[in-house]
Amino acid sequence: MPTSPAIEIHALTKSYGDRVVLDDVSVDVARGSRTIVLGPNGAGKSTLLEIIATIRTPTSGSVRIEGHDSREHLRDARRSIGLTPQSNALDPLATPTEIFEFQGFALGMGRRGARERARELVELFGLGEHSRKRIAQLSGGTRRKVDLAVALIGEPPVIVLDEPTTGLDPLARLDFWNELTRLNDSDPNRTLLISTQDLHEAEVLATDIVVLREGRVVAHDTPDTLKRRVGERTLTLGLANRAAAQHLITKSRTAFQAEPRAEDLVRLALPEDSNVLETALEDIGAMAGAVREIRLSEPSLDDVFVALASR
Amino acid sequence: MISTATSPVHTPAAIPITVVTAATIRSLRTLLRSPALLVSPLAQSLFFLLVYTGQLSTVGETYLPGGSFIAFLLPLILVTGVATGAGAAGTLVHQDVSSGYLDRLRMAHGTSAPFLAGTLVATLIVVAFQQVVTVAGAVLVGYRPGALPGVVAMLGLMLVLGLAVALFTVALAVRGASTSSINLVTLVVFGMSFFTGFFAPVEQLSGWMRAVATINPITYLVETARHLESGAALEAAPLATAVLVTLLVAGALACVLSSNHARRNR
Repeated sequence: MPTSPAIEIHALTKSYGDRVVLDDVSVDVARGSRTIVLGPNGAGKSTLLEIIATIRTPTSGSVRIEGHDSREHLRDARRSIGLTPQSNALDPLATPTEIFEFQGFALGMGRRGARERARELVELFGLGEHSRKRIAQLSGGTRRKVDLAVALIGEPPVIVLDEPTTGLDPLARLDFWNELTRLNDSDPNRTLLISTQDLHEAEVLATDIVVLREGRVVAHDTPDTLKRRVGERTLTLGLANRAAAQHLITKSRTAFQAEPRAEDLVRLALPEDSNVLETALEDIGAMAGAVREIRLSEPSLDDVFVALASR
Repeated sequence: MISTATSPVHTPAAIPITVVTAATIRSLRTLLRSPALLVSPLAQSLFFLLVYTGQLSTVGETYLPGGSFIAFLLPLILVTGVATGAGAAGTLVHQDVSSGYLDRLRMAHGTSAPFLAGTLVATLIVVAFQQVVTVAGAVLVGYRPGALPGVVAMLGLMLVLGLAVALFTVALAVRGASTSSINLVTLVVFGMSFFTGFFAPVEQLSGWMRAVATINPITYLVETARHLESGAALEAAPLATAVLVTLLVAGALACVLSSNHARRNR
């Protein structure tokens, strides 16, 4: 099985006059991953995705999609990508079937091939009852499905999605996430690159996260590693009273600390060493009758975002 | 069942004309589903036809000895109809540019040229239809066409003008102009058509209006259209040809420059 990255970005810079939007970005996106590009407004997420999708040209640097340089082998690079842009890039007066067929024509399919593929996608995305309605008549969630389906017409190995669930209600968003996960799971070589500001979306979807700030990559790792980078897991105990809390702090073999604002709460920072947690649980077990509450928490992507992506 | 193929679809490159045909059908469909774009130019032409012939035909025939006022007026009405109808090309392209759909198509095919070409062809088909309906409307209010080849040639001339107008509107749309800027093209041609021998032959105009009409390139298109329709000598044809060729070349050049500008600024 090939292990080369699906997307290789090297020293990518994009500027408009004096305004630098992307500054020396170098990232490899693993094949088969669901890589989230996270960053605040103006970080350069959309520009990065548009350059990868070959809609925009970089000022300098290179992008390779499935081994094809996007400047030297533009056609092959484009054939390897399907794009779902930030806003619905669809013909509002056309039906989903018409859009799928036309996109198939644009890709070079013959009439029969385009029609067959359109039928497949209508079935795949459950668009049967909507296939003859115009895009303008469809709900936001259904339009996004159509948008995603258009990206899949050529069966590209790389799908690029720019803030795909912006404006969708929670149910539509959940439905869309399920579609993305299904797409990715059904083919281990299919790579999804998704930009978002929605940290919950990143939490649900990401196998890898790239954090952009002011046009630069400030972090690229798995969600768990990024969380550990910005903080540690914490075990919080609520005990019967102050005396029980003090007893645990004094007698425990681990470094429980009093919670300043609640005399019956104690807290233990958990390093990666699992022995610490095991020892703490043994000590807690010795005074189980006094324990009213136990809570294990870890840094969230909100913490990652605040620590890495904000100024 | 989701296809598990991850290698991109490698189909033989489609013959460009197939994509242009599909693009033409798509644009025609959009136009048919946009009543405002379809009906407005037609309604405008028929409105002018009715009002001008109703109000002025008696007066007009006094300075057109042996001639028909409707036949005299018709080419100008067709010009204003073309100016309005051909502007639809820019409107369609603007919609595709601003929504990002044209980018999507360009990504899929490699170039946006076939899709722009399809929009132009579709617009001209609709403009031709509008022109034929206008002529039919003129027949209903008393117009008696000359020889069929002459009428067809007149409509052909109008279509060439329509292509030029459409090229300019498409160029502006590709460059990212707003709809109001794109509509200026229509407005300019529309406005210029009134500074010709609109209600009377140029030689019967006086003062500044005659001077303006003499240098107005639209005047020679209208004169040639009238001569084609009536079978008269095509005295203004060389100038009309020069005007049309200039407009077509300028329009095509504008499209190329706009595309280059858009590419440089991506």
